[in-house]
Amino acid sequence: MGLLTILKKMKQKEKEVRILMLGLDNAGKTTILKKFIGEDINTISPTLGFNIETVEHRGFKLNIWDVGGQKSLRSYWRNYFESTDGLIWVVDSADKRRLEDCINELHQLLVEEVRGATLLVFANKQDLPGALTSQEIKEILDLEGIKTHHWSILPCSAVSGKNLLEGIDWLLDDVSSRIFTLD
Amino acid sequence: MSRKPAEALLIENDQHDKRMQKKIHSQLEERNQNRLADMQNKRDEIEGEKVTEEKSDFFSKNFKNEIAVIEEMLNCKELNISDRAVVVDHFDAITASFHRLRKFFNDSVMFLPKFKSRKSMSQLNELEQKINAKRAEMIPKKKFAFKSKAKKIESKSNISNDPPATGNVSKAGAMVAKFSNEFLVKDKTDETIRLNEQEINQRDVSLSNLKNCTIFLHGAPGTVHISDVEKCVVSIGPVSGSVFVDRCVDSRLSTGCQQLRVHHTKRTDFYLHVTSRAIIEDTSDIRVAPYNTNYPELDSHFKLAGLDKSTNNWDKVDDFNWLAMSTHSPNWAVLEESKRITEQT
Repeated sequence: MGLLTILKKMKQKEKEVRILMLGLDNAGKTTILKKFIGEDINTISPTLGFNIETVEHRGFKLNIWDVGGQKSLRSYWRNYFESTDGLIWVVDSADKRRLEDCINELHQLLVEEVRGATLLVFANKQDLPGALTSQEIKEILDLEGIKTHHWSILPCSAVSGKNLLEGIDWLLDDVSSRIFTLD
Repeated sequence: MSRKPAEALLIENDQHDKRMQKKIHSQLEERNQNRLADMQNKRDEIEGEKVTEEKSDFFSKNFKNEIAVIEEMLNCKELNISDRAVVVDHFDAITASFHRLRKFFNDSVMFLPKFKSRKSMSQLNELEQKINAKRAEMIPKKKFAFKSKAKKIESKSNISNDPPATGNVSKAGAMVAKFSNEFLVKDKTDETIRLNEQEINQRDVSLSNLKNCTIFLHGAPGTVHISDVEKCVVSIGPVSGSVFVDRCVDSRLSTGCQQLRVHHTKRTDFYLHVTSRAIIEDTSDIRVAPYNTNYPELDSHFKLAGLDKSTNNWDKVDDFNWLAMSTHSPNWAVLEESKRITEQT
């Protein structure tokens, strides 16, 4: 038995998945994270730095990194790219004035780094009256043009929790099909 | 206690010696076993490394082959270029092979020497670029890559910064115009503006490009955006979501909100009721004080906005340009009580 097989078996046994959550400030990254792990979401303030949560879900051990989206923190994003299996890009669907920012940041991210990671886009804040639909976000972000990553977009609401689980499940399915299958 | 005969004592001693001997013997034996096991371990380790070496060779060979295969496919020999569907299929096949190759690389990364993995990575990237370039060449109309698209948008957005003359507004810009349903106050000088609850309750309110104005928003908006404001007094009721302030100078702002975000702002006083946190970025000479707006319907607006009147973190400001926790940020301060003003309505 080669060393590779042993290592693979180990990784497979633990089924550890590292997920990085990014997006502009006020997109709702921390709220999604807290909602997902079932913590109180009423006292959340803008993330100064980052949060890490480890959750067991469907037999996977998820390490979710939630990094602050403020402009001054974005240059630090690259520090978190290494060994990221899945990237969650969170969009504030109701914040139309900063969609251009959102497009540029996402595209820069995909061109520059996070090679091979699965991309899940959350069109968040669907509970707000002025929110764009996920279809509209998809067009604006030109997701169809992404050939370098497996991607998917889901409308969601961190406040109500709608579609969060579905999103994470899709991400896990995709990541595990890439990482944990032994040919 | 009866005395034991000397002989018995001797036998006992003898037995004792034998026991000791046995014990020492077994200890020695144990140590020897350990040593052997250790040696075995070390030998295994060395063999393990050998396996790694073999694997690494195995990787190199396969990796090289696969790259050659993909490059061969990229040459597009014997391909019916006139049939678009065939070309698209061909490129899909190339992409699929490429993904397989990358997966193979990802799987192997953990045993590859650092240098080799870096080299292979750059080879992969190179190949990917080649594929993308070739795809652009062979399937011209199909939008395919982010890079060029992103650039396009960037250049477009540059144009849209000095609008409508060119008429070339980016997609996102058009979408924004299409979906905006907010209440807008913009381009005013020396005016007093009052908006009542019917106009702003639970809506998005935007104040922009204002000078020397006094503005009363006595209602419970959903969110408030304030940008490019100079020498203004702004008094807002409780906002259920966030208040966003950008490029505001020499002004006074009073608001209740769940969250306040201040960017590029100078010499401005904030009178706040914040239930979560206020944050500032690229901002200086800011002073904060407790909320000072009062009007008859305020309590009902607090209820409508869903803000807790008993929680106010007005003096807890996070400065994103000042990450040192031990010392206070020089960019903001608490306004002295004697200097605080009650907002006139």
